[in-house]
Amino acid sequence: MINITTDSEDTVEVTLRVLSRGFLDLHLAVRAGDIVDPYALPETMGEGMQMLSKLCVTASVNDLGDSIHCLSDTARRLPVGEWGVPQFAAPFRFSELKLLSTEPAAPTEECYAFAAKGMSDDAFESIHHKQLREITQRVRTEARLQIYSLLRERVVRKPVYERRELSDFLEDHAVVVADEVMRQWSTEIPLGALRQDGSFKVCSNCGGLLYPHRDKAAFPDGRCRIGPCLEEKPSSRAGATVQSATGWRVFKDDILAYWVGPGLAEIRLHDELRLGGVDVTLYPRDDAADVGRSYELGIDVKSYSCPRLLGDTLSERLGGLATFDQRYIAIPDAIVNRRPHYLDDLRQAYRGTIPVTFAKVSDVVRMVIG
Amino acid sequence: MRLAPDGFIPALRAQWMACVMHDLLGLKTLSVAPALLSGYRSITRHQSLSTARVALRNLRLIGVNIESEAHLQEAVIEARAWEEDHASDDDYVEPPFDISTDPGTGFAIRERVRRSDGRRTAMLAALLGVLPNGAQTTVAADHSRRFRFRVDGDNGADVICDTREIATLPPRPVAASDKVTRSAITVTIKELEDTARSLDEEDARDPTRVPRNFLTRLRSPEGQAVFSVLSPQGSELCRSDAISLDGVSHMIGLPGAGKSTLIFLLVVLLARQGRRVTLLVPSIEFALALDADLTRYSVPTALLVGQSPDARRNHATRLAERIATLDSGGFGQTAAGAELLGTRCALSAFVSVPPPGFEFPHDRPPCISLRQANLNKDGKEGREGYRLCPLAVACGRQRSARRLAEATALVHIGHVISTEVLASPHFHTERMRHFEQMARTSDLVIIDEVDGAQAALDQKGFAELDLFGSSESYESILLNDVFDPVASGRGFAVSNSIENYTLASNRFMRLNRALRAHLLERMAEEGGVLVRFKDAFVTGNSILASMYLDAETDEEEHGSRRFDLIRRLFEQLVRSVLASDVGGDDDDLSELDLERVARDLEIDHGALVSAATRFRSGLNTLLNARLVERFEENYDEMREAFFGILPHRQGLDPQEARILFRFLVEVTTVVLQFLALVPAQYAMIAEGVHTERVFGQGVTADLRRNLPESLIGRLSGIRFAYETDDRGQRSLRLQYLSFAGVPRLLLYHLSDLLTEDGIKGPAVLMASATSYLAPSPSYHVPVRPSYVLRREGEGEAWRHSAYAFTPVPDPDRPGEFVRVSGAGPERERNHSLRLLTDHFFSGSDPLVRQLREDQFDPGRRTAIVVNSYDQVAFIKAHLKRTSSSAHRVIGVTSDIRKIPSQERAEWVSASQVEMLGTREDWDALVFPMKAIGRGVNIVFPDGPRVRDAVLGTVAFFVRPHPTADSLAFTGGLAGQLALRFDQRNIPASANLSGLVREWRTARDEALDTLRWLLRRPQQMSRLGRMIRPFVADGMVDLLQTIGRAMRNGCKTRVYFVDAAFAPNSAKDHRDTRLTSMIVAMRDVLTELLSSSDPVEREIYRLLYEPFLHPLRNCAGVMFPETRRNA
Repeated sequence: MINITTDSEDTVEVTLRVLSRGFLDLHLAVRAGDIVDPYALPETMGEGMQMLSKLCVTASVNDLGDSIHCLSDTARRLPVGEWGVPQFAAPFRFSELKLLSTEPAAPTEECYAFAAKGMSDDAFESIHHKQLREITQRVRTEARLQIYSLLRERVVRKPVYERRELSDFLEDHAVVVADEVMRQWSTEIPLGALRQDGSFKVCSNCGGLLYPHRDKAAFPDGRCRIGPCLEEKPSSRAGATVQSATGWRVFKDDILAYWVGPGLAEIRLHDELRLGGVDVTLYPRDDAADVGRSYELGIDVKSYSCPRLLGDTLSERLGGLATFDQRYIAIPDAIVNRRPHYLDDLRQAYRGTIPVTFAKVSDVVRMVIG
Repeated sequence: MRLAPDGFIPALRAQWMACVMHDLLGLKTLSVAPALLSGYRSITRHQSLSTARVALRNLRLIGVNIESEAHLQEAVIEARAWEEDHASDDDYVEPPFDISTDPGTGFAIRERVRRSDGRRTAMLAALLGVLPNGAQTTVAADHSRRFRFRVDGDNGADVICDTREIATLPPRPVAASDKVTRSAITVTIKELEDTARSLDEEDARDPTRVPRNFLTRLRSPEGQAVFSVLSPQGSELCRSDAISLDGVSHMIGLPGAGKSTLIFLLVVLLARQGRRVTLLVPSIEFALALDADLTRYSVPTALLVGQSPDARRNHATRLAERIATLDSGGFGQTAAGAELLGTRCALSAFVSVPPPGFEFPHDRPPCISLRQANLNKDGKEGREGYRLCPLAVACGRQRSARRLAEATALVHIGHVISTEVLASPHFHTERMRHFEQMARTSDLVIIDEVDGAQAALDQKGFAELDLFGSSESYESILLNDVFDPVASGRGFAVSNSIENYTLASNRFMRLNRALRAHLLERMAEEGGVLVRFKDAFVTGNSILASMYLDAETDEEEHGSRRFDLIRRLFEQLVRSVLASDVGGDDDDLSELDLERVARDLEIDHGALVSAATRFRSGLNTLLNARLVERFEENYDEMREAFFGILPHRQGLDPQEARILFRFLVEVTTVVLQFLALVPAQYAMIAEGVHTERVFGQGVTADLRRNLPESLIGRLSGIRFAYETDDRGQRSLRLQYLSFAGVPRLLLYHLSDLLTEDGIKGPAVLMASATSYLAPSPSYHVPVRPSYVLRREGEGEAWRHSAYAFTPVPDPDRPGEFVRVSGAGPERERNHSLRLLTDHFFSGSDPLVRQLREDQFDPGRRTAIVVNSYDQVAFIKAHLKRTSSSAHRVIGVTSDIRKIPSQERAEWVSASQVEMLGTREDWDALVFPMKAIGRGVNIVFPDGPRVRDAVLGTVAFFVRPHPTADSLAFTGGLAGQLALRFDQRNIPASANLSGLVREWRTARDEALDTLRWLLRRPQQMSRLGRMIRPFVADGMVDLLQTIGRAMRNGCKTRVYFVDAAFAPNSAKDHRDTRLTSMIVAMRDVLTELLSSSDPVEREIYRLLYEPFLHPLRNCAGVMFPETRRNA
């Protein structure tokens, strides 16, 4: 039995934290090739489910902690406040927390943040960040500082790629060393995305794959499986059709969930600022911010469902954003519009000493361009 | 679980039998007890037993199930021993009957007291009444006080649980009440259509639902009936506009005829009328899917599923594998029914004081083994007792059991085997199994794919007992139940019966170890003499046959009779030594009647006597030998004596004969000694020494008591296997197998299981596509179909079905064709599979791609049928190396975890196969024969071909054949013979001795038939008179597989690719039913379609003509009547 509770913490919050860690551990195992086996769960996951069962039984509601499949499906579809567990529902301050992304299913950034609450900055940092940083360490050219930005932007802009073309790209930018990692992060085009003739289609909005869908009226070209993209464009459209999948690859689900999906808003922000004449780059200075310029301007785009958790997390660690003179936290418009008082609650929850401006992505663009 | 009447002492069961025989039937002996207590309805419901019917059943229900004359004798002797043991007790009163222990008297009964004696009248009254079920006595722990459990049963550390912070717990569910009578069910087709319409309307109201279009499954948009319901009227089948269900009904129809739709609508309709329905389906996956479908239409359901840790683990693991194939290894995914297969116990969260290193046993939680002290009136805690978990009313792991107990759950869905599960002690007040619960509370029990259910039940008719090597083995049971209690001082007082049992079981262990030592010795040999017996049901009969009968030539009747005499002689010789009290040469040989044996076997009497004496002496010395090194010389002595007068067949290698003979002696002694122990085991159970687990895993005692005994008695043998663990270490597994009970009769008895209790049971509806095939022992349901479903208006598309025998030339052997079945060692079989795979999948335009696109039926895919999951893996691995389109071939796997995650899209688990209908990215599906069968349909989900079968071509790479360890055919035959006797109509004029005679004759004939079968290898060419039933059984699996490509009345193309299907035709010679399964199948079906009964003929025509028509025209086969020039 693992010991995760501290006297000062509230049981409900601790339960959620252990569940978050459980999901991270479970996802790690699945990434390594395991399946979700109810008889071989990571210890944290089992512990989290046990604590959840206790909340359910004491509240006389349906026990959610008995089946990992039902639980993870619920966590993928609903924020914790809607699980049917009264202790997680409003006024619980993190009731809006969503632990797993809807599509593709993976732990959300919020889940990482919640799991790491009270721990060191990189306690649960994504393995992908680490791997990318390692690559940048190995590059000895002057362009080293740009490598991280370059590679990440490339992943976000082209989640489906032709291997040869990527190799050329890496060669042109003198980062051949990244070739192996890119291969590890990606997979061949899944059979489910192929048409009978072996062709496949690419989403016009995010560049991901379109999967043939039985509702041909709503999705004549197929359906994109990247949640934030679907939210932006509920009816996917094909940007390109590739006749043969040979030599083509797509980034794995977790990269799509962590980088490509959230990256849509980042790219949009970046492109609009550039269009407005502001000289910004994506992921400047080894990802010190999502969009920014040298030390002057830093903007992080955050897609948390729960503003209070975002406020808490930023209070605890502002990360690279703190190193910029002008600091913005930009929230995708859709999230702010969907949830009343999002920005107010976020500002209220932020207790950091470094001043930060919180605004919608569109407002940030307006503010920066002036 | 019926409670025995007050005053019933198991050891005195003979007294209770005497009461029934004497006082109800006016008999003066117990000799007829084995027949009358056999439980067969042809006997028990015979007019001459009308006064004793209830009492006979009650005797069986309390465990007085006398299987044989030996059991009867044991019961009588035990009663006498009890009398002697207790004669000096202060309160001893002589039992009411004096029963002779002399078998010669037929166990004569003499009255010791008058008929009016209180004890006799009380016995009679109890036996003629309704025996109550035992009450559930353990109560739930009080959650407002602490309680505890121990990790490993009684021996582990204490784990304290504290649930005091729970304010309130939900109340226990209210269980459904019993029904004493049930009115017949009549449902019109119009009512079903109305139900379909209302379900379609419900779908239409919810935009998130994919419409199911139920009405169009019944009526075309033009208003024509999609299928008709026909029922026999006089000498023809006539269209019926209503379905009436009372008693047992049988409904059949081709795959895709509309059975599933009809059953679904029937269930919804009845549930909406408040009727209770139990739906038994072929698999748990099927049950889960149905549960979800019914829930979608607000029908309250519950899942009937095994609750043992192993069963739960098995189901949950299979579900996890299925979910893993959906996406992301199952992360964030779920599937219908996951909430009913929860794996985590909520109590784990309330452990307040865990011992060091404690891990909560989620797969074996202490649901029924908590301990809590009673609370005395003064508020102090008193004695501790066992308690049930108080959280069962809230725990997710108990959700399924809880729902099953709720009266509001009107539809119960599960597998027929799960009906043996004990109703949860948490939610039921009586100790009862679900089959009885079902008979008490359901209005209708539907058994879908009833032929499969019957075959599954037959397999439960084998009791399997590990002889050593596991905690459930007989050796372990003996040590724990008998030896250790005495050795450790916990034991029983001295009792003659226990001492005698100890002696007999000591001998059994000695014999068992000798057999084990021999098998371990042989394990080192690759392909040794005994390999042919590996994984098979081995009896002395089958070993002896390998020594006396030539496997290559079918034995003629004379040889068969002679063989039978030799078998009997051998058995008698061994039995005479095992049963002898003294042993040695001086024993009386007269019981063996050697003079007659010599005459029958045409051998010299003097020589036989001398050989018998020598043999017995050898065996005796063997049984008493003190040095293992001396065993061999005793075997030699016995062998020389036996073969000296009855030489083995010519051509048998002497060294082989030596090994076989030793094996024969070992198996025969083990089996006979075990059989000798069985009656004593009953006595030990009665004494409380053993529990029922001593009979091994098979059917539960409760089900056995409710159904007849096995007609062939305890026909027994052994089965051994060499297993290899993950580290490559080999070990031996040795099991004792015997027939026990006739579980298939549950299907036939269910509707009037409780008649003797004055309860009219539920209506039973059996349904399938292949449950009416008279020659098939395993699958035929001998109940004249009440309803036959016929698809209308599709122009008999099956007439365009095309079957062909298409063997593939062997490139290595010019003039030969690739043969997989019977190809010899695994290496050669794999080589053959490789050649067939290349034939279908290699080249720039592979054959399998052409099959998808050619003019037969464009767009439909190909099924490649093999015999095992290993063969699927082999083909996939070969394709991966050799074919650029390997990824377009989907393999069916039994364990998705073994598949690397990047390859999982190319694999599916059997339970996930139906999802393939929505995918475009595959051309072929490879699977083992039975993995995709009953109820599994891959259909086009939408478009112009909606609901048509996606599979259009079925290629059989391997001719189906029972695997070596399959007891299916043997079990099916035993079940068929028992059912036939159960349904026999014995003339009303028959008296008791006539009934006994009928039972004995049926038993002897059944035993002869089974013995005849067991001494033959299960190969078509060597099965003689059994060939027809054997082919019929194999054919059902084959037809069910082809049926997957006939959904919605589609035409089908079948390729019989394995040259073994028609080996002569491959070489341009005629095949016969002995050489070709195709010819044999055609002949069986032709015969059925020529039935003289017009209704039968019509039923068979509707069911099997779509198969027979293309079989008759099967290209590439030279039928016996084919003219060479043609």
